[in-house]
Amino acid sequence: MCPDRHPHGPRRWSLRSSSGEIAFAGLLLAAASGIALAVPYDVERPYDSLALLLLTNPAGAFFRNLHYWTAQVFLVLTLAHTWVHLARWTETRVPRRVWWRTAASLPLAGFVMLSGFMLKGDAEAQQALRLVGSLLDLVPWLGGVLSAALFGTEGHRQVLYVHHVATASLLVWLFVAEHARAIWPRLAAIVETLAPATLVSLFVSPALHDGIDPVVKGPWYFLGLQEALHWSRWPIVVVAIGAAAVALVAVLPRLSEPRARAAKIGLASALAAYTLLSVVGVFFRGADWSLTPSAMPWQRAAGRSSGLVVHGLGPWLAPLPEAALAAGVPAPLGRPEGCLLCHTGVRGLSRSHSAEAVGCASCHAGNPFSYDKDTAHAGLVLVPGNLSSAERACGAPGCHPSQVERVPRSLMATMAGIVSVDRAVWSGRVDGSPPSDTRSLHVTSLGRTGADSHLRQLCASCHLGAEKAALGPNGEDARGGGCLACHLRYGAESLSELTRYRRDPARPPGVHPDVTIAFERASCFGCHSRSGRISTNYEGWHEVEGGGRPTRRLADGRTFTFVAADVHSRAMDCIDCHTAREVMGDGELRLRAHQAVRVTCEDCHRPRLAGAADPIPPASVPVDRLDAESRRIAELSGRNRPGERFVATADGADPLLNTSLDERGGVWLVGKSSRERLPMKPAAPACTALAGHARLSCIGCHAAWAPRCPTCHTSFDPGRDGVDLLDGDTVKGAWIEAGGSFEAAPPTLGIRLVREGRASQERIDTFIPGMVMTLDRNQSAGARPDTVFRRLYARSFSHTIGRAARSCESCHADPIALGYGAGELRYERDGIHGHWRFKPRFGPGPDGLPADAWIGFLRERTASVSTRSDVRPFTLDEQRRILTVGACLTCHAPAAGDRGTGRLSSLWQRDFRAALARPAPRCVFPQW
Amino acid sequence: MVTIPPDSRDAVAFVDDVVVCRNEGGVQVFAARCTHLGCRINRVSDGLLVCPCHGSKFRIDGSVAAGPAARPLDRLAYEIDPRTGALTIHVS
Repeated sequence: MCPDRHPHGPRRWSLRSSSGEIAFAGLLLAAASGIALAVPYDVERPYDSLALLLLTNPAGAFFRNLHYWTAQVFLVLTLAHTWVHLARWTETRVPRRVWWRTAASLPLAGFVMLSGFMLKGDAEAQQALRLVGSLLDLVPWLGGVLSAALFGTEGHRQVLYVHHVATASLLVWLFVAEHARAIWPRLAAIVETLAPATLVSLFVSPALHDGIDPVVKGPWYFLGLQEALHWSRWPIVVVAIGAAAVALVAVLPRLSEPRARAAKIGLASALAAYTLLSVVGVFFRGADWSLTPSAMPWQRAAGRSSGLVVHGLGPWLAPLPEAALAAGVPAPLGRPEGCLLCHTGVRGLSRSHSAEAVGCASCHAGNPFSYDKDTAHAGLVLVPGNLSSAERACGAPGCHPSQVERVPRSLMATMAGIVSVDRAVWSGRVDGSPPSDTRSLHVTSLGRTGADSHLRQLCASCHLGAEKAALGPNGEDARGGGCLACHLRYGAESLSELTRYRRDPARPPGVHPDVTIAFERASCFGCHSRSGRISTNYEGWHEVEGGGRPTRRLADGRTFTFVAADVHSRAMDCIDCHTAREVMGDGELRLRAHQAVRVTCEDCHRPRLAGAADPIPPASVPVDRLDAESRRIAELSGRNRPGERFVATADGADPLLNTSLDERGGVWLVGKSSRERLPMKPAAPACTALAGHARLSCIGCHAAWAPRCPTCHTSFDPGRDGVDLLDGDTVKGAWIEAGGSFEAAPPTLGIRLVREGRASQERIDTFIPGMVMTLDRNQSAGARPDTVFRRLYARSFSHTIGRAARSCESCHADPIALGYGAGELRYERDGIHGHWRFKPRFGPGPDGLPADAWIGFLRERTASVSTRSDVRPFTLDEQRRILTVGACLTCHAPAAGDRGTGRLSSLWQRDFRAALARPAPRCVFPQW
Repeated sequence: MVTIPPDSRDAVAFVDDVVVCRNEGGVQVFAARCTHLGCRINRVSDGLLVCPCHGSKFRIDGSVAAGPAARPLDRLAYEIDPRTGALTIHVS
């Protein structure tokens, strides 16, 4: 008989029952409440039946809670009771057979608890079932038999159910009753157990895993085992240690007192170690087994569905939606979801993301197994898609894990290009070579150095990882938002409904904005209207400072004037050129946009070989050879017709899914958002016919203009407060950026090395002043200025493509094109000699060159010309050759209407060098 | 038997208890069952297949990137329909 218990003694009605009595009472109450659960519980559909119970059966849900909490009381007090026995040397005072059976009841108690956990049938239960089955399989000879006998076969829980409710429970009951020598616990012990268990049951429920949360944990009492199994490459050793501990308890009566004492110290030490491992498992293990401090098990962190659910009395008091229930509980993705009992008839989402298809919790988290609003909304993610939570929502298995895996490594998320340029400019190491550690270039790893604090204050809000917290469309001043920065599309109805909801928040919106792959360029505008300003350029808007003629003012206060829109902008959005892999990344950490962008002008506008009537056919991919992601996009776009063939990028790697090749070799583009069908015209004959222009890129001729901000000044004011855009904190000291005059002009030309396979080829490309600036790096009040001057041009794809090419003179006789900066470039004849003269518009900078120049007039610059190592301005020889043509153009300029048609004068049709060798008597060539 | 439509060249696809990995080297099909203790693997993180139960990590060629698992994922035989590219995997 237990020494700490007196079933018929004077303490019968005292409210101070022993640990053994409470454990005994807990077992009885767990068994009794389990009977109530057996009615709604369906062993063939455990998960569904429990979800329905939580949603539609408050009484059943309460008994589930009571069953859970009384079982926890049983387990904890059983362990405590065992501890008391060992401390009091009980094993020496009871018959050995009783002691052995008492020891045997310990693993049996564990089995009863674990089988109960497995019977909930959710993701955690399924993994536990697999894990324990595999552990038993490790037992030599008997493993397979034991696994089948105790846990049944996978997918069939009948055997497990029988053991849980009958076999194991009965054995535990018998063993406990035997050594307690009583069939029933005292009434006082029952009251002492039932009262707190009832109270806790009213406010804390065991969670049912929603199948989305990537955190999968076992029951708390086995998390130490789970942790131990992580650290051991030989699971059988862990099992053996557990079995040895139980065996040691069983044989304690046979040991001498010193050995028994040592054994007990060993057991206590093992228990302490197990407790420590359990603490790690409970509090520190997160998704993908990451070792990071996580939310407490009782906190309903966003997206969390493991652990406990703390709630008010709502689940018991909220009136059931009888009308909605009459139609049955909706079960999108096979998971009964209570959200849809309240949020009925929500429309606006396309088929693939509709509430009927994926429910609400897939994206918005919360607790889908409660009808009570507060409980259901605990841990709700109002604005999903942010990169911090996208892995759980958009990136859930079965949704878009591949994309969500890639996006955080994409340039739009890392800002690696901006970070690397800023640091290079700061340090003066502007050789453009990529750093070995590209991970350190992620915007989220910015430190507190001068360069990094500069970025934190001026640039760090324009990345996909910036959190979007408020409902609403991504407007002109939008920043970040992860997946939904692009894929969220508000229509008139959803916008109107949002406006109504803001006035009347008691009634949730009935129209949801769509989640789509066909988004318009407005989604890109918020971030891309800054820095290179490609979004504003594309629409023809050029930023002007104060005194200009502003005709458009953006939400952030900047003003713009109209110059000329890109010829593609009439019918094409950004995503009509840029593929999913360009925008969302290909999984590689890239340093520059040109490394990420694969599509080229020639992919659509095919060039002709000299003399050929038809253009060179493009690379193409048939619909049945598309990769999975492309195939899915084609399906969603309705472009997966049998026989469909898509144009691909020149290397054949990326299919352009809004293109098609017809039977006659014609190439078409269908706007992803506009659905407009457009012919893709081949390149003009002049693009390949003009001698001496083999190196010229398409943009070199067709960039109509580019914004130039030739002079700016950045300094640090330690007396002002700045805002850290990464953290949102106000910080002491502010970076001040003072711009010079903004101008729109045809871009500067220069050379870029383009890698084609293993070889590199020089292409004439377009450039703008990237960092022609004076930088005061001083960050201390009162310290002397630490001023440096940089003259770096940046390669620019301006997104201002014109149908007409720029004129011959705009390249061959234009100082900006050649890199000299704005000014007057004049060809003067002096008898039989000619001379080019240049008068700069801007005064000299600290290095003596005109403020906006890339190179000096008929001079060379080789070092520190750009933030990239694969570009350079023209060499002196190249400048002379260009200007020689410019001199000829003063007499032989083609008519404007002939440019691009191939109908050029004979001088430009034949080999220009041959013409130079036999000049006309009147020809005056430049002297250098 | 599991039949899977043609998949991405570098994607990882989980279908039932099967994981299909495609990279430049071609297609490889594995049992999505951790070789440590049998938990079902259904997630990719940092380009690795991660077991949610004990954190074993596997590369997409099935080899072990981090323990406690000691041996690579079990490779499954498959056939590719030459017409559609669909994979047929025979699961015992």
